[in-house]
Amino acid sequence: MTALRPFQCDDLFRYNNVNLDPLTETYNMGFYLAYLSKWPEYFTVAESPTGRIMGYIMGKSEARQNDPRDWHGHVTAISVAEEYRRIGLAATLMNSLESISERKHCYFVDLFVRVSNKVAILMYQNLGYKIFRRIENYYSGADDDEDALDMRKALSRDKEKISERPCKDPNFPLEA
Amino acid sequence: MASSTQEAEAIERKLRPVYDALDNAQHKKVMQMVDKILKKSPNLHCAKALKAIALLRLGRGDEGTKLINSVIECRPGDNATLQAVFMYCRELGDYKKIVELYESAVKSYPTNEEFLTQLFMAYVRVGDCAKQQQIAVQLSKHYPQNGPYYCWRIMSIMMQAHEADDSIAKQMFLPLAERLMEKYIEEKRIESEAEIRLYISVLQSLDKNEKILRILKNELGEKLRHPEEVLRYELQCLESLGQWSQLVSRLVPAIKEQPDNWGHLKLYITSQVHRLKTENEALNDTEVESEKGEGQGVESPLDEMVSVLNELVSAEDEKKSKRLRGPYLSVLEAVRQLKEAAMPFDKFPDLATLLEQYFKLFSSKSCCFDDTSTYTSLLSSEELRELLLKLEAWCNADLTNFTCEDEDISANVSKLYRDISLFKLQRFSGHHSSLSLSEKRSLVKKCYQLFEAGLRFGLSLSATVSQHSDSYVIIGAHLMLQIFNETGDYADLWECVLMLKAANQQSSSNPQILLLLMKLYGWLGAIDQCTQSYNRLSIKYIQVDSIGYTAHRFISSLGAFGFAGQMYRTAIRFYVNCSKETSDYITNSYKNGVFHRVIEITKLKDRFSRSHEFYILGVESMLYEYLKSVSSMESARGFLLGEKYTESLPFTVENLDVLCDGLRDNRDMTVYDDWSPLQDHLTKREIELSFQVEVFWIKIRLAMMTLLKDMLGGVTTPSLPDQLKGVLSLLEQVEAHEGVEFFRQRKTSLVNIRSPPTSQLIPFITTGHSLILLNFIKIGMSVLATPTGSPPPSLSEECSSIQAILKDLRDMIQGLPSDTDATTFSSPEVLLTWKLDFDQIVLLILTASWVTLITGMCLEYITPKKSAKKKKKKGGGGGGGGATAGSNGESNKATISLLELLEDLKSSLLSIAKRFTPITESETLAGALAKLNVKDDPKVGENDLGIDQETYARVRTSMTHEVIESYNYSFGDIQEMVGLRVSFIKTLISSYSVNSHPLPQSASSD
Repeated sequence: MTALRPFQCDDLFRYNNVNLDPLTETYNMGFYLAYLSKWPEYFTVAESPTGRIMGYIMGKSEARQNDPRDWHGHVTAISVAEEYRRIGLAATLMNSLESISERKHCYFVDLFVRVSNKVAILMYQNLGYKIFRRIENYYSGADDDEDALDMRKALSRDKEKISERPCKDPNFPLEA
Repeated sequence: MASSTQEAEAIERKLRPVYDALDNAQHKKVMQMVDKILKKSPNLHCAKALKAIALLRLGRGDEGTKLINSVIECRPGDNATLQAVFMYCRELGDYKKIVELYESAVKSYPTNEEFLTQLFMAYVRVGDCAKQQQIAVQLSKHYPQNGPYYCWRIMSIMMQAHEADDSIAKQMFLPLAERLMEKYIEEKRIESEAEIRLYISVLQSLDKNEKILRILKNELGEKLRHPEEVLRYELQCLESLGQWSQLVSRLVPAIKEQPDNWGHLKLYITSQVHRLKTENEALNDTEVESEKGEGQGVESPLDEMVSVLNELVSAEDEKKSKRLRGPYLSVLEAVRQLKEAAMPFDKFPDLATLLEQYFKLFSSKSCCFDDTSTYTSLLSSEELRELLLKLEAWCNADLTNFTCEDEDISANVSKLYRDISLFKLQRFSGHHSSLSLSEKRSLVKKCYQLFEAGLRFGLSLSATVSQHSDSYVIIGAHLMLQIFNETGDYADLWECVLMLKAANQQSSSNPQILLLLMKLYGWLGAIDQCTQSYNRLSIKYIQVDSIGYTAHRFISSLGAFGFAGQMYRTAIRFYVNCSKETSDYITNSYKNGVFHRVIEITKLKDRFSRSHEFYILGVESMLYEYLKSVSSMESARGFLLGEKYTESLPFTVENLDVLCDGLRDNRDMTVYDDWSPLQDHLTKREIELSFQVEVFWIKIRLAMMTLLKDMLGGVTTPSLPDQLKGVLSLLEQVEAHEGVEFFRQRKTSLVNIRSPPTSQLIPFITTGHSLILLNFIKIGMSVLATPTGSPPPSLSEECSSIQAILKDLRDMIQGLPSDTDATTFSSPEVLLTWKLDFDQIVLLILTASWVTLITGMCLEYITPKKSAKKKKKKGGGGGGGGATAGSNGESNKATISLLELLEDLKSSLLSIAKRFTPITESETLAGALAKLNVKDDPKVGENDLGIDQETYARVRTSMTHEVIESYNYSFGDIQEMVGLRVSFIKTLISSYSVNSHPLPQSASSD
């Protein structure tokens, strides 16, 4: 069970059980503050009955190159503490982000995931996300760079689900 | 106008490549390009400002600031130059200058929207809310069509309310904000969600909940697009107003829609219990009706709640899989709240039955323990034992006999988690504490075996995921710590490290295993391995502040000075950046109209700037620089009176008491998992005491450094005797502090897994270092208080008491478990049975550095230096040689006493440091390692951990290798630091000994 609420600055001091996970990135303060001060409704935390942080999702809505058809929600980070896995929490958090994006009249929601993160990819697929394209060396690492999958799910505004059709153009712009 | 635009465009074209080079960090290129441009257009201020930025980034801040000041003096009025100057000041963190810059720009162009906006933001950065408000008034006057300016004005008033006393806030600022907001609404200007939220937050601050409820229902509320947000506001208001019936009617449909929403479920139960209380009170007083609007024949709140919750549970019962936990847990919560309110709860099953049901349904989820811990802690030990028996009979798992066929894996994993949940519950019940030592040991063995058995089900897991069975080995480690607390045998701790290391090789990313390794290695003195875990956990940014304490304290006391210094600098950078970033994002919150974040980020900024961890790191970092740089009176003057001292401190100290009283504890004390019984948990008192003790430790060291600086600098207000008295009383206060007593009583900080490492202040006080310092300060006081021309006091009493303490300290260190020479390390049998306590030597290095300097000042004061005629020092210790005129005999006596004392200190340092001699001095490290013969190690062949022999032997050997190398690293740094102290002492001895008295032979033998 979950108590979802907006993420607050002070939660950053208590999210260690979530962030000590090796695949969860701890960002610099500026990064969190940028999201908190621009897309507050897109940063949601799940709290356990005893008040521990179970997980959180952080995202935004944007459009690349002023293309109105590109207006979409984006999942920047989602993470669930080890202790609260296998209870469908990630799906709950994703749903919350999708419904916010629906309300903001987005066409789709997208996210990037490491190609090696099979568990996550499978979960996103189960939630209806399709692989839109593969981005080479998206994640830079100390030893090796790693490719990312750009996955998308069309929202109700995109009736023909055009946004989730696989992209053929490898030069599709990354940033606006 | 057209010409000035064209001009601006031309300049922009000219400077574009400079901006690009700056963005690409080609700072030298920037300087060349600018110099070229300036040759043609020498008055192009913007180019100069860009060059200043490049200079700053090249570490030539002095030149940069000179250049930028020359630009500012010309009062630039073009946006590009102002932006460049702004960038410079921002990078430097000089926010006051930004204010001056835009104040001057606004003076020249009073209605320029851009400049006014920038000035507003400049005030935001320095937190001048009243001035912010004035500028926002101007902005909204000149640009009324731009709604946000009006909100900036209101938010500026809100910030003044936030900073003012509660009564002033409620009587003055908040009503003003409300009036302005309502005027805005009357003028029908309010449009955006941000504005409505701001209005609501004004009303919330005024506790005007009814008004908020009305707004939520009118046309303003309709503008809020997120139903969850509206519901959240509504529930908050109703709860504040205590309107429980309304809450219930609002929550019932919400619960039916989202039966797993814990926030709603809990508030629903709270509301019903409140209604019940009201009803009961009403029953006691028949004249009064229970609640207005509630008629006869209405179901009682209890029955209503029973039926609502039962309905939720039945719906879940019918499901075959993916049952929601919320409904079941809400019944437990209802019983808990009824019990707490002393209401009958017999319409629900009893707690034990409910918990049994919950475990049977959800124990295969790893959150089961956390879900239920609030409720299991309400059971008596008898009830808990019974529950455990029932559950164990039901679970009946023998994990070592699990089958491992593919189709069984998922079922087996569920079984595994179920067993782990019960195991945690067993630990929580206190069962483990009641076991005998040998029972505990065999349970540890079983833990490791279960961990290994469970690995079979995690073969397909990626290395970045924890293994399913990790919890066993973590509980095993917790048990080992309990064993150590009973036996006090360090070999038990090393076995625990070994077990964790072996587990880590199988499950490399489990953070709890790494956290435990970090703690134990740090505690045992192996800095390399401690920091390795720190790095593997990649503790960074805000985690430096929240959980950095788990390692920082060890790192500062393990003698690896150079390494520690480097680490502190990295950590401090986080705080410095944070102060800039938080300021930036407060301004962004205004720009984006996310007003609730303005106060939130302001509070966050404050939390970082007053974090005691920041001050600990700052003091440690400064002390490292001090210890590294000071080895004579000259270098001490150079450090303390020059810029080095202030540069090495990342903060300024105006008033030490005020500073220390305002520090904040940002530590996350829950980072270590803990399933021990409630009575063994880390208490609030211990957390508070450990914080207070740390603050004292910051305070003492800063007070000492300030004292030394003032003594050297000849500062006379407050007078030196007064300052000395101040430090003296600080030391006395600390001695009497209950925190010191609390931690002194305790054997180790490993009593509780969540206990923070004990502050260095404790050994500083308990092993005589503070006494040594105290006596030296007394000497300093009596010498420096001697009027000019009078004979110096006899110091025999103080000196002999210091010598006695030094002797005790030497004896204590001689009494350490074993000698640390190469022979010690030739066998893990010896190495892995003791803890290397670096605290004493690290503290002695610090104490020695302080007292040597004090003695040096005393010597300067009473004795003419050999070469004093040639080298006259400015401001040396209040007029060196003042007390000597006509009293040579007495001054000689005092000088001899002081020199003898220095001799004694030197030999203590040397004899103690001898125990920390790097192996390379007696034989090569490689040689020592080659001698490591595991086969001769009697431990191998009979391990109690249930680890197979080969693994055990391998891990034990590599662990020994690593630990020796780590110790050796610390030894090297210790030698260096001791060397600096000794050479300082030697310079004093050689400067003053000939003039006074020939010293004993040992003086020149080192």
